[in-house]
Parts: sequence; C-alpha cells; structure tokens
Amino acid sequence: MIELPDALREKILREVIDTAPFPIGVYTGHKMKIVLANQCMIETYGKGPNVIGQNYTEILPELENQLIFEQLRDVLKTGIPYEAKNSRVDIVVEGVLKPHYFNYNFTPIFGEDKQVYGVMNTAAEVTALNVSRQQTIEIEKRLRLAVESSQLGTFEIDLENGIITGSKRFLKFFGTPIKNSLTLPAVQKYIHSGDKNLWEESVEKMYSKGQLQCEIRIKIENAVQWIRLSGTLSESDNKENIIVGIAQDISEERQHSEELLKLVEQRTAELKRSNDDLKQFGHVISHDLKEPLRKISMFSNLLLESADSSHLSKIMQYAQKINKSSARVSEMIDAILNYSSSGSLDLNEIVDLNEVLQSVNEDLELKIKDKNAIVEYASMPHLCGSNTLLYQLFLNLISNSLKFSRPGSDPIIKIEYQTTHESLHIFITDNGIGIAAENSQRIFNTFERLHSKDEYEGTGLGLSLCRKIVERHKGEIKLIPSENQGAVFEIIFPINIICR
Amino acid sequence: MKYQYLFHIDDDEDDSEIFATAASEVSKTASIESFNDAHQALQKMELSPSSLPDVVFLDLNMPIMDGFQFLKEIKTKPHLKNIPVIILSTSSSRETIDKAKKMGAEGFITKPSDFNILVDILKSYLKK
Repeated sequence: MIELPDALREKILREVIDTAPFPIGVYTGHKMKIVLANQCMIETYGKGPNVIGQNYTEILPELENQLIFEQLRDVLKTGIPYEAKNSRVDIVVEGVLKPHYFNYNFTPIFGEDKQVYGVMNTAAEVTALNVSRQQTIEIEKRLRLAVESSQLGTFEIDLENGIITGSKRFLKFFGTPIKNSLTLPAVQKYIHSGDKNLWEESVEKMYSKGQLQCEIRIKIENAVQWIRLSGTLSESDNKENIIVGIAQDISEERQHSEELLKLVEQRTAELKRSNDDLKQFGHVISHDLKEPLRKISMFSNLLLESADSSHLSKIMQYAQKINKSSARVSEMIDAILNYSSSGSLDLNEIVDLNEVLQSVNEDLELKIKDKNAIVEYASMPHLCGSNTLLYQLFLNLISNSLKFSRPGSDPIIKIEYQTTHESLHIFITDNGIGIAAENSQRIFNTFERLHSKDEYEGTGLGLSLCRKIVERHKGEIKLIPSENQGAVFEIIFPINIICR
Repeated sequence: MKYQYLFHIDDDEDDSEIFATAASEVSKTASIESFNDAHQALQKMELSPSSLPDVVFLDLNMPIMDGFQFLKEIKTKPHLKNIPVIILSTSSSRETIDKAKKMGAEGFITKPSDFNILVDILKSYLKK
C-alpha cells in the first residue's frame, strides 16, 4: 500500500475487511475475546450483530467438544497457524443447530514483542459443495443397490481401443478365465454361433449411432446364457467415446418365452387336429351319413314297386335293407355324439378298471356269446380319470376285436398290464385278422376305414375316439407289431394315473 | 352310344343290387357283371381279352384299389384304354369330377337317391 495518512489508511483497511465476501474475525487473549468480525463473520456466527467485545467461547458454546477451541488455544500458545479443509462445524444459526462445512484458517498475530496476542480467523463455507457431494454418494449407493438387487452387470466400452471394463458380475457372464477387462474381439469368441451376425450388426450400430441394444447368447464351454446388453454413449466430459451400459442375464425370461412358444405350438397342433376333425365331420355328414339315407330312399322306391307286384320275399328284403340303413344312420349319429361330447367330462374320478371291464362284458354279452368269444383280464388297477370315457375306450377296443375276429376261430381277447417307474402299460391282445403294419397309424384317424363298408360295418370313429380318450388322460395308444396273428394295442399312461 | 355288355364295379353290395335291378329294368338283353373289388375286374379284363365289356360303371371310394387307380391302370393298357368308363359315385364335388374327366372318364354320374332317376339315366346308356 502506498504511504497514506494513518486515518485514511485505517479507514480503507476497515472498509476492505468489512466488505470482504468471506468471514474474517480476530480473537485475543485466553478467553478469545472477539476484537474484530466483519459482516460475513457475524452472519456465520448467526448470533446477531452485537458480538464484538464478547468472548468467542461464550458466543459459540456449541463449539465445545468440536476441537475448535483447542485448535485456537494451540495457535495462541504455539504461534503455529492452523488450517482445516472441508471440515464439519455444527453451529446454531438463528436458534437451529446445523452442520456446516468450512475451509478455515487460524493465523497467529504477533505483537511487537514477537509474542502471539491474537488469532485471525478466516473461513470459506463449502457446505453446498459438501451436500451435493453427499447426495452424489447417496445416489451412487442407491444405484449400486439397484444394480446389485436386479443382478445387473455394468460395463464400459472404450470405442477408441475396443477395451471393455466391467463389474464382477458382468465379467462373470464371460466365464472365469477373464481377469478384469475384455476386448471386443475377445467377446466375439464367446458369442453363440447363431448370434454372431446379430452381434456384428449391434457393434456396427454402436459405432455409428452410439447405442448398443441386443439380446445374445453367450456360450462358455457348454453352458449357454442369454444376455441383454443395453448401452449408450457416456455424457461425461471426461469419458468421451465411451459406451456405458448394463448387462442382464435373461436366460430364465427366454426359457419362459420359449416354453410359452412351445405351449402355443402344442395348443395350435391340438386346435389344428380338432379343426381337421371338424372338416372330416363335415365330410361324414355330407358323404357317409348321406349313403345310408340314399339307400333308404332307393329301397323304399323298390319296395313301392314290388308292393304292386306282391313279391313278398322282395318286399321283406327291401324292408330289411331299409331297417339296416336306418340303424346305421342312428349308429353313426351316436358315435358322432360320443366323439364330440368326450371333450367335456370330469377326469378326476376314481375308476376301477375291473368294474369297467365287467360292465363292458355285460354290455357286449350278446356279441360275445354269438361269436363264442372269451374276454380275459387279471386284476386291474384303479385309475384316476373319467369313468364314462374309460368305459367307452374299452368298449370300443373290445368291440373292435370282436368285429375283426378271424372267421372260423373263436375270438380270444386278453387285457393285461405292466408298470414301470414312469408309466402304466395296458395291452389288449386278440387273435383276429390283425392290422397290417403300414396301417398302424391310419386306424386312429377320424372316419378312417380300412375295410369296405359291407365287409365290416363301422363308423370309422371307434379307434379315433379311443385315441382321443387316451390323450385326454395324457397317454398314448398304439398298435404294436405282433409276432402272432391278431392285433395288439398298447395304451401307455403316466404312472400317476394309478390311484394309490 | 348304347351298350350291351357292362361291368359294374362297386364295393357296396347294396349298390350292386340296385344297379343290377335298374339295368335289368331298362334292358332285357343287357348283360351285367358286378365286381365288389376293382382289382378283380381288372384281372378279368387282362385274362380274358376276348370278352371285354362295352362299358365300365365305376365307383370311386373303394378299399384295396380305388376307382382312380383302376382308371389309371386301364388307360395305360393299349387293349383296354378305349373301353369307356363312366363314374358312378356318391361324390359330386367339382374337383373329383374334373379329376376323373382328366384321367379319361367318359362320364360322371352322382349316385341318385331315387331309383327311377337311376333307371332314367341308364336308359341313355343301354340298348333296349
């Protein structure tokens, strides 16, 4: 400062101190009497304007136990300045105790005798800076928690050199051999062969658009994992050309949707079959059912003509034909009704197969006697299923065996079963005319008939109904090749169909 | 064209009877041979070339050998391919009719439900 009259000089200095934008205060003596405090310091104390001349320790009793007084006394005693950075000081401002953060200095002031007679206190408040830093820490903590709890891996890709750094979880996606960073070409090796193109396209897009979005399979040894990667260019100034992102294991999700897809396919197949059934149903209505009706009409014409000429034997013959054709219409309608109602029955009844076979036997009594047939079965298990449907199943199978018996030999029909860990196998064996191996699939089709209409009367619904019933009980039915003459049907149910 | 010697091929015995009754009503002189199996009819035609029918009335939906197979067989045999084949079937779908015509069938009759209509139809084919 240039030479000035003392009065002016003091005025200027006082002005400078008073208007300084940071707190300045001077304390003297053991009791730390406040001899000077600028406006900024007075506001920092927060104890009103009349603080000068009072003792620092009395004005700010809340500083007791915050080591501030000790620091001040040390400076007074030793003459060594004290500096604190970013230090928390709790001060009561306008009656409320709040944490504040300061960078502050205690600077000794020496008298002419070189003894310390006071301490100058300057400070800069950094509370706002600190609060935002703490908020950042808090946000990061929460983010980490979110990332952890959602099992996300985080990564950064340096577009300059293709180096990828990532969290432990991220690196774990790529197996154990990796230490702490990867490169784009190294990752390429772990991409499932079916996804390599997708990966290349995604990387290209990442370079051109600054966005990475893909779901790919990572194959390590023989384990395949579905990973979803989403990343975007970092907005930080110090991270130019860096893609930051998250990676997520979506294997379960994928498996789920694949299972769902399979289920849809399965349902679609079921629907398709029932649709095909419907089409064939249309066919039978328009064709098969029309046949006997046409004959009824034909033979009625002939009957009328013969009535004139009183040919009694002809009349009787035509009337019988009409009867037979009517019976056939009715039989077909019954079969169609059975087939279409088999979809809506209780499948959780306890069904004693012995009783079922007993009543099938009783209902087929006439035919069995007529053909001199023997139906044999050992003690059969109790099943969990539909009584009506299982009755229909055995009725159809046994009727089928009776119908296709070998001319000249008495039919023998055997029903036996075996169990394995997983399944119940029921065998229906007969000594009839058998079924050629090439027809073993066709016989279960709706309205399929292998034999001409007159040779063996039938609706073509019997075995397809059997298949439908077995499938409704989660089983399968097939014709198995037999060494002997005759047919062997095998029905396989899951083992849990047996009631214990 | 009126015919004298007829083959009728149909696996349905009722239909064979109805056809024979109708044909005999139309013509007292016509001779009708019925087959329940197309294969047998084909064999007969191959084994006795001297007594071939003037015309074949053929059902389509049959086991063992169906009408289309029969038609295909005789149209490939030089000495049989000129025998006219008239389809007599329950089917009346455009598709089936076109297919039969394409394979060389001379005519296509949908089995009528009225005996007298069948008689009328046969009148145009048989000599009195």
